[in-house]
Amino acid sequence: METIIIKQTNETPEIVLDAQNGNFSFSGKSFPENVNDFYGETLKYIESYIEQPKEKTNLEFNWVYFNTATSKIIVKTIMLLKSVTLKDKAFEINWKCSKDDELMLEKGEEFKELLGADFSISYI
Amino acid sequence: MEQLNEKLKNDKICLSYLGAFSDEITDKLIGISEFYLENKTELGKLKNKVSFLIAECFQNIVRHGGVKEGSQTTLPGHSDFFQINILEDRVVLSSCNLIGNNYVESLEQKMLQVNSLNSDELKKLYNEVLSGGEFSDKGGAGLGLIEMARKSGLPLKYSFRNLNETKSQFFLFLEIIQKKESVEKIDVNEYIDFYKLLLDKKTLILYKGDVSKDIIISVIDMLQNNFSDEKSPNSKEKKFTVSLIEFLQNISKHGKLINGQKEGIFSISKDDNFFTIEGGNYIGEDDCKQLESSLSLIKELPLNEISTLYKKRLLDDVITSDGNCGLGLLEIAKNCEKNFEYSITPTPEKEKFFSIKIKI
Repeated sequence: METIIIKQTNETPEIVLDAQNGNFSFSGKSFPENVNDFYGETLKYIESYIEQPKEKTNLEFNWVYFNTATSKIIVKTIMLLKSVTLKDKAFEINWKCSKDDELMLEKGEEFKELLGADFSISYI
Repeated sequence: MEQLNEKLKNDKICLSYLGAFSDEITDKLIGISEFYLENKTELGKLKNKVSFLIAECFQNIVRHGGVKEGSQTTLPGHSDFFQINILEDRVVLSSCNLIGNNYVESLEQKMLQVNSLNSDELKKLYNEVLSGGEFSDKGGAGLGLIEMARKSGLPLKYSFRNLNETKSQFFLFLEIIQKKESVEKIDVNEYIDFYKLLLDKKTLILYKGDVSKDIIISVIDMLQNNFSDEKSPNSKEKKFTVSLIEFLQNISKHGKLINGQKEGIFSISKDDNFFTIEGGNYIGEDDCKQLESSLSLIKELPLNEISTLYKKRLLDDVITSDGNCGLGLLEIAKNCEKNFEYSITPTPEKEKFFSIKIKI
C-alpha cells in the first residue's frame, strides 16, 4: 500500500497513512461538516492495512482541537488498529499535546481510559 | 437573542465585528460578503463594489484611527467596529474608529464637500487629488473617502461622538445600492444604538444569517485573530472554540430550513472572567422534543455523570450519515461546567425558536 499524505486545511487535519512502515498520524484541527465524507477513505485504508499489519503499528495524534463527531472517528481508528494485537502484532498510541492544554490532555486521558491500548501521552 | 433576532428580521445577513483589525479579518469579511451576495441574493452585481468598500473602510479604521494593524484601540466606551448588513435591496457598511478631536472639523468639511458633489464632480476631484492635489492631511490623500462616495451611490452618512478631551468616535455608514433610483433608508442613530448595545455586552462578534460551513470556518478564524498574540489558543479558548463549533454545527444540522437556508443568530462576548456564546435558531416540532429532553436530562445530571454518559456514548457506534453523533450538547455541558441557560419559545410561523446562553 502506498503512503498517503492528506494536507491540512482550516477545518481538517494533516493525515499520514504509511502502511509500509506501520505509521499513522493525525495532526491539526478537525471539524469537517461531515466526518463520514472526510474520513471515509482514511478508514478504508486502515481497514485494508489491518489485514496484513506490520510487526509494529504506531498511531500518533497531535491535535489542536476537534469536534465530537471526530471523537468517534478517533475511537474507530484506535479500535481498528488495536485489532492488530489479535494477530500478535505490537500497537502503540502516542497522544501529543502541550502540558498546559487541559482540553487535549483531558481528551487523551479519556481515550486512554476507554480504549486500554498501549497509550502514552507525551508533552510537546 | 430572540429580541435581537426580531430586531434584525429584515437583514439577510448581519455581521458585526468589534476588536483588533487586520488583513486576515478583512479577507474573511470580504469572503463572507462575496459568497452571499453571489449565491444567496439578487445583489450579486454589487459583489466587487462591496469588497472594495469593505477594504476602504478597514483602511480608514487603521489609518485614521491611528491603530496599528492587528491591534486595537481600547478606551472606555469605545471599540473599533465594523458591520455589514445585507438587506433585500442594499448593503450597508458601518464602521467606527477613533480620531483626534483636532481632526474632527477638517474631516467634517471633507465629508460635506464629498456629499455636495455629483458623480461627475466626484470623478473630477478624484483625478485632481490623484495627480497631486491636496484633500487630506493624514496620508492616503483622502482618495478613499472620494472613492467611497463614488462607489456607494448615495451620500455618505456619518456622526462624530466626543469621548474625552483628545478623542472622538467617527461613525461612517455606506449604503450600497443596485438600482439608481433607490433612496436613503438607514437611520444613523438606530445603527449607533445597536453598536452601543454590542459594546455594552462586550461583544466580539455578532452574526445573523445562514449558518453554513463557510461561515463557521470564517468566524472561527476571526475569533482566533481576536484572542491573543500567542500562536496557539489557550485551554479556555479551546474549550470555548470547541463549544462554539458544536453549537454552530448543531444549527447547521438541526436548524429548520427557512427560505432555503438554515438560519441562526449568535454572538460571542468576552469579559474578564468568561467567554459567552449566545445563540438561537428555529427548530421543527420533532427536533424540538428531542432537544428539550436531551437538555433537561443534562441539566439534571451532576457533572461527573455527564462525563460518564459522554464516555458511554463515545464508545457506541452511532454516527449518522450526515455525521451526527449525539455528543455535542454533552461536550458543551462539560466545557462550560453546566453554566448554560436555554429557552424554547413558539413563533407565529409554527416553528419554535431555541435560544441558549453558554458561559465558559
